Amino acid sequence: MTLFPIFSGETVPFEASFVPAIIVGFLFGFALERNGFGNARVLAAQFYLHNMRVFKVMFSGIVTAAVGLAFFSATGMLNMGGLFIPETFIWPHLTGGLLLGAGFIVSGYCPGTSIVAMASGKWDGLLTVAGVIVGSVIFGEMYPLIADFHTSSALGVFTLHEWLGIGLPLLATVVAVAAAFMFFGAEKVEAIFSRMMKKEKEATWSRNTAGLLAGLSAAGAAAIVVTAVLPEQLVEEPVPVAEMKVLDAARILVEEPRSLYVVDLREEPACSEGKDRLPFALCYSDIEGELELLPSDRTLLVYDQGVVDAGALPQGLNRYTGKLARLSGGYDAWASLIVDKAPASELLAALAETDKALVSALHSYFTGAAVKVAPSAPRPKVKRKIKKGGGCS
Amino acid sequence: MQHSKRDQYPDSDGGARAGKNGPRPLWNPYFGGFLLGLVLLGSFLFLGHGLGASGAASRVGISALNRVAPGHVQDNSYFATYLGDSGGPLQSWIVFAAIGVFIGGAVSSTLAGRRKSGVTRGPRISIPTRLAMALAGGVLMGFAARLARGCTSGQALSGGALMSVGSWVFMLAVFGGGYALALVVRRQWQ
Repeated sequence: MTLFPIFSGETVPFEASFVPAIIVGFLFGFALERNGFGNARVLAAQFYLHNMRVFKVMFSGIVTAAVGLAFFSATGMLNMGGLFIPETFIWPHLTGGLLLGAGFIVSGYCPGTSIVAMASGKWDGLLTVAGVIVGSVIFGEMYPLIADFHTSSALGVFTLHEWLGIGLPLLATVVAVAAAFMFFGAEKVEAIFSRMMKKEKEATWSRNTAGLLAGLSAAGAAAIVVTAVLPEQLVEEPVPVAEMKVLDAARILVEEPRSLYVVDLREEPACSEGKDRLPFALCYSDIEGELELLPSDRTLLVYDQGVVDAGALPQGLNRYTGKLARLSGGYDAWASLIVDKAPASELLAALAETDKALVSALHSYFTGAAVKVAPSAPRPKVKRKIKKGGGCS
Repeated sequence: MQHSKRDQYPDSDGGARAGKNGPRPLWNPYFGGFLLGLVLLGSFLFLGHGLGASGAASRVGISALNRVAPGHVQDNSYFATYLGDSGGPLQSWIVFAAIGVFIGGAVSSTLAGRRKSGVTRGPRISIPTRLAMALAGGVLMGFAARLARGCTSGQALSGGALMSVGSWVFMLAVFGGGYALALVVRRQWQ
């Protein structure tokens, strides 16, 4: 059962989100401070190799969160599609990273830790915060010059596991195991550079540490096993689907029917009986095998007899690469608003005057004398997509 | 045991062995990272997105500019995207997360005995120079974070946990940029 995310990254209403945001921020700030990240010397030490707290904390955090995400999505409790995942812009990310790293060693903080330093009473932290604000505004002022670069090399939402063609659980586990080895190496590097700089090495490695890392790797391995054992439906993501109102669907079918594929989810004969279905509709069972081959430039509009839950839609719809929508209220709603001579009064009452006129126009369009039976569409042209190399799509 | 003034702060190598009378020791970085990871995971599960910081700074800057020169902000295609539908640039979760970070940092440093007015610097650099460096580095990071659509929090940490390719490129580049310049500015720290 999908529980998470409670709020979906892109649609989170501000009024509902600001209290949880303060709480999450509080815990973030607290954890940063306790890890020593309110102190520029602790942070800068990373780049002189005698104390690699930054690397250790960051990678432990990334591994923990990645393994957790893998576990929750493997068990079907988390819909990864509901998370905001940053899009990839290779060159802006590369140059932005280099510049930010340079700013990091000059100021001694990164933007988040400078807030913690400021909160700890550090004037250098305050000035870094001020600098970040000024720098962001300078970026905006220069935007006309750099807009092209800023939007170049766009690969969209593109993840490492997608690129490698493996699941998140496997990748998270591999990263966890690799991190354990890198931490071990970091301890060695620290020992060497501490000796060279005549500083005392901070003792951070212990049996507990090794146990923690082993535990994280084991949790990742458990996620792999869960993925392998659970039936496919549980593991697959729910279909991300928008809602389309009957009136909108009808209008689009009149004005630009070629922007839609209409797919009837009902079993055979119901979906193929000429009259009681949407115009241009195709039976799901007929096109099920070809969904991934359909050109993705149209919206695929699905409907069942009545209301259908997003969670109850066939998983196979995920194979369609374009946008998905479902008809609000299903065929029943279509029939009562468009096909029936006198639409149900409560439906009409909810409409504006102009929409009422539209309903009656649509009614005669779709049922009128000229067109007795809804026209049936030719099968959409199926173009075989040529796979591009590199896996970036 | 007498503590010299410098020992009051966890030094780059001294935090974990702070004494009874000094500030509380720092967390072990592996366990501290684990707890940070749990906070990040909680953010994903409840809010549907990761953590962030630089976005708040950007919104504060644009909001201030909008007070002074609203027409100018509306004319700029980049600033205009921040204006939003109703509430203005400050009405975003990330601004409140940043307020939370400030409160969390203040509470933690107070409880740990580390909250003290001062300037963090190496032994061989003057206070004005250090403050100028802090400001200059901040300006550079503010620009860089907008270019990369996020900073170490939003891109490296959050995008890294989501295994976004761009976030990993960014993270490796941050370390690269830091190491590339570390020797040049070493006087500031060592």
